[in-house]
Amino acid sequence: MADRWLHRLLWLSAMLAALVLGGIVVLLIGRTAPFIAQQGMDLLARQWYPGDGEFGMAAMIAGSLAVAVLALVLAAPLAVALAAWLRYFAPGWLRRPALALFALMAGIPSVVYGLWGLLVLVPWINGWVPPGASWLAGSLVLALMILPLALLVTDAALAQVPPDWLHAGAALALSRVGMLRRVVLPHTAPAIASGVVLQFGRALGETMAVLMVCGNVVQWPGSVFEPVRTLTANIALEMSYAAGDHRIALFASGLLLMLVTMALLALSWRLGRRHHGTA
Amino acid sequence: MSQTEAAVRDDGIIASVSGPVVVARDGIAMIVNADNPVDAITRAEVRALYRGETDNWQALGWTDRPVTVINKSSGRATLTRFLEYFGLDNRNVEADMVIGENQQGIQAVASAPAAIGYVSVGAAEYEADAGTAIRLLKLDGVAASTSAVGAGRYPLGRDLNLITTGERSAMVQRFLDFARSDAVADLYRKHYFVPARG
Amino acid sequence: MVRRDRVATGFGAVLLLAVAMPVVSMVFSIWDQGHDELSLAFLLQDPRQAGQAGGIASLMISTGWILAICLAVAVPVGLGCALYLSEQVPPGSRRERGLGFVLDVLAATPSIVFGLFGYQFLAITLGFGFSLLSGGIALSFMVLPLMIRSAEQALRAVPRAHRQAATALGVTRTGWITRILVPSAAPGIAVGVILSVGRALAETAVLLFTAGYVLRRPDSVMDSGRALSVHIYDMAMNVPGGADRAAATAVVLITALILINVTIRGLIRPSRAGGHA
Repeated sequence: MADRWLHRLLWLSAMLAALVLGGIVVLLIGRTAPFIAQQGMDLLARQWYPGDGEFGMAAMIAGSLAVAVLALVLAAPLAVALAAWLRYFAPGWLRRPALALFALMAGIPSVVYGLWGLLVLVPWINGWVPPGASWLAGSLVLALMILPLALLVTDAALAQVPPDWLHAGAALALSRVGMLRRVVLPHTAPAIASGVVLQFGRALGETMAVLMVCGNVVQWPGSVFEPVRTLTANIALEMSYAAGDHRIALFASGLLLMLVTMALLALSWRLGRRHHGTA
Repeated sequence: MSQTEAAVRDDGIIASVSGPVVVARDGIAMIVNADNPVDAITRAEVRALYRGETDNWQALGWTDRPVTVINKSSGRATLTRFLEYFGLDNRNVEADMVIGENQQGIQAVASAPAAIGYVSVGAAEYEADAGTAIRLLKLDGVAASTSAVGAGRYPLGRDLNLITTGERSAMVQRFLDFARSDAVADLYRKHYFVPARG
Repeated sequence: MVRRDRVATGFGAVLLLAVAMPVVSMVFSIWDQGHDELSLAFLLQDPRQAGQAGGIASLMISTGWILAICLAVAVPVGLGCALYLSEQVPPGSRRERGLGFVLDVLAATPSIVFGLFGYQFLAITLGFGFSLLSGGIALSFMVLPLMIRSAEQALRAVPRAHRQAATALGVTRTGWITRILVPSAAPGIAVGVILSVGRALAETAVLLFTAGYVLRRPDSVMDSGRALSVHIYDMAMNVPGGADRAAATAVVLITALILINVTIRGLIRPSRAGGHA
């Protein structure tokens, strides 16, 4: 008897999680559908001058993607390299402190990363090419932010490699590098790829840090030293001062972010399908 | 608290307001980095800078260095007032960086030697006094300071208001009177604003 | 070791340093800028003068409440959902994949979207307004996937032998779950709680639109309150002269995170060694 109640309770919890997602999507669509229908392609073709009723988001979509892609290009190889290094090359005593460092990094609030970026990184870049607050600054800070989790995911994937394989490799006198290149990485590539794509989603969704270092000028990404504005920074920057259509436009950009995230996830799932899912 | 024209419905649209009650005065100061020797600017020069017509500090008396123009993001009262005073259209402004809050602007200018931006006089004066690496520029000959704002000499002033929606209850009215009274004048001064009573 | 292995070792060390440097510099500069402001008074007094003076006591209270509400929603729902996934859904089934996809999407959703959702649904539609309640619930939605995933992993890690033994002994479903499964998985679940706490404490964007900005001590969960992370942002970006205090608050926040991490891990280690509840 109690079993059935428990069963229902558990089912309810699961439904709640699904409902939250459904709720978010429904709410966003509900709020923005008439606006989107009315604006149509203007949302992409025009520029962003909300004061004049122009809500073209194309440049900001490009900005979000540019900053996230560069961050991933910087962070992913680094994460894989460091995870492999920690596991196979580093002296044993280093593992604990290194992992502690990454746990610390993962726990630092994004505002703090943003502040560091604004006060240290941006002036440094400014010394090379003004203004300093730029696409590059955003990607560098983001790369630092997604590195720890990307590394931990890779580490978890590496842990799944059957020890027998490693023994066999050693018996065959493979160098550790050789083993990595030809045995370990090919096997773990799907899991790593899927985890890394998830981090891309996180990079796409980051708000506070990019707000402080990207320059926030609405323009198509050109040189990495030029400022860009991401969709997330835009929402944070303008939401408190937005009314009517401007506010709805911001909600619409939130919806767009969710849709892109979902698409990315579908991709990540496909990549990871060969590997029996770990988190 | 900054100048707006209406009160907020739940979709953000302003419906009806009981007229703004001015509680304090502030100004908008043009600021540059402390390394920058320029200490005064004219209305024409600001227009030229923000429209991209002038883009090198040489034209204003410093070295050969490109200007980093800092603007504010849309919807903010500081932006509206700035554009209004200098007769600019936001579409024609060529900015190298867009910031949100005053402090972000101050930090941005303090860390970029070739930058110019505009922020609240009160905030800038506070920070400059505390040692932050910025300088407030004289605008058309008048120093950008809280005392100039208070004396009415600084041309680019702005009012800080409280607004209410609907009918004002007795309690609300008492609060509004309190907010304009001598009892709180020192609070405004502490934040480098000028109390409305002068 | 072969030569290429030695090169690889050296190379990796360089990479590690390259990554560690900014982080260490970050932590040092925060400490450097903020530690002067740190004192017992800072922790025990309420902020004055928009935060330029006084301390952060009321903010810690608000943060505590927001966190409590967040966990009060996320832990039961998260655990329930994880139990559902591990006990009642066959692995590889459509239900599992569907729910897994939903959770992954939630996990990857930009935090600001939770802010927008929280504002529109919790603050306006449900009428909670800017409040600790809105903030806590919005945060719980955000950490839910993290909680579920950690709990699920912990539950699945319980050895099959336990389950077989329980069935052999005629233990009921409920009994199995409440007396054996969950207690055995407790360490892993606790880790999930730590991760969720960490994520929640570091979050700013969500709270800006739900819990609000108010500095004073909250009288109830329906009051608005400012969390530590929001305070860091406000002090650094909004308040003249606030940079030092922003740094000091960041020190407090990061220290709290480290303490929570260490404490919970410390608590679960003896229980793991000792066996089960």
